[in-house]
Amino acid sequence: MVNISSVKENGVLVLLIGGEIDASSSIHLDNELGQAINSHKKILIDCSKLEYISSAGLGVFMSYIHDMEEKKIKMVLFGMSNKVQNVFQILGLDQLLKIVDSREEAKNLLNAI
Amino acid sequence: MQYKYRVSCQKDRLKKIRSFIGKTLVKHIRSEKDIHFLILAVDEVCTNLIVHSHNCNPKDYFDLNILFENNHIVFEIKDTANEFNILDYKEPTIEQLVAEGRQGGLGLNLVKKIIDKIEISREDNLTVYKLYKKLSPAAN
Repeated sequence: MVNISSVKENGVLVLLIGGEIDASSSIHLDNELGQAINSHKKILIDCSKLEYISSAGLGVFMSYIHDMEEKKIKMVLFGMSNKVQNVFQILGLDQLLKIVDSREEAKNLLNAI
Repeated sequence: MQYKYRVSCQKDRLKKIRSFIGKTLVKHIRSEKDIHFLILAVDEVCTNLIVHSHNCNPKDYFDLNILFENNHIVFEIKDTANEFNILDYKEPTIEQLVAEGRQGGLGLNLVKKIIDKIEISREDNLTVYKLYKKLSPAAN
C-alpha cells in the first residue's frame, strides 16, 4: 500500500510518498505524479517514508522523464533509504533522475537546475 | 530445507509473497541488502506470472518453494499456466523505455541483474521456474 500526500511550498509541489510501491499500487503514484507534472514546473519527491519499490514504481518515474524534459519540469527526489536507493542504482535510474540525500540539498538543486 | 507458499494470482497478494520470502530468508541470510534484492527479484517474477500468465485471475494459483542447497538458494515456482519465457525475453534498454515513455519492461531486467541462473522446464504438466542464487560466505 502506498500513501501519497502533497503540499505546496513557495511554488514548489512536494509529494510525500510512503509505504510500498509494487504492481498493485503503482497506479496511485502514476496518478499523483501525472497530476503534479501537469500542474507544476518544480516538484520535490520526499521518499523518506518509502519502504519498498519494485520495477512498477521505477517504471512510473521513468515514464515521465521524457515528458518532463520536453515541458522543462524540474524534479528532485530526496530522503531515500539505502534499500530503496539501491533499486534505482541497479538499473542506472539514479543517473537519469535527480536524487539527493536531504530536503535542503533537493531545494538547492531544484533552484540550480 | 524447503519452505512452501501457495500464491493466489492477484496483485494485492504481492505484499504477502514478499513477507513470506523475507521471513524465510532472514533465517538463513544475514545481509539485509541481499535479502532485499532477492525479495525484489522474486516479486518481479511473481508479478509477471500473475499479470501475464494468469491475467490476475484470483481462481488461479502457483506454488513458490524456497530451497537451500549447499551454498545456493533456489526459488522454485511451479505454475499451471503455460511457460512465460523469461530466458528468451529481450528486455528493452533503459534508453528505449525513456524515449517511449513506457512504464513496463524493467522487471525482468532487474531479475537478471540479481539472479545468477534461471531454468525453465516442464514437470507433470506444470511449468517449473528455478531461480538460483549463490550465497556468499559473508551473506550467510
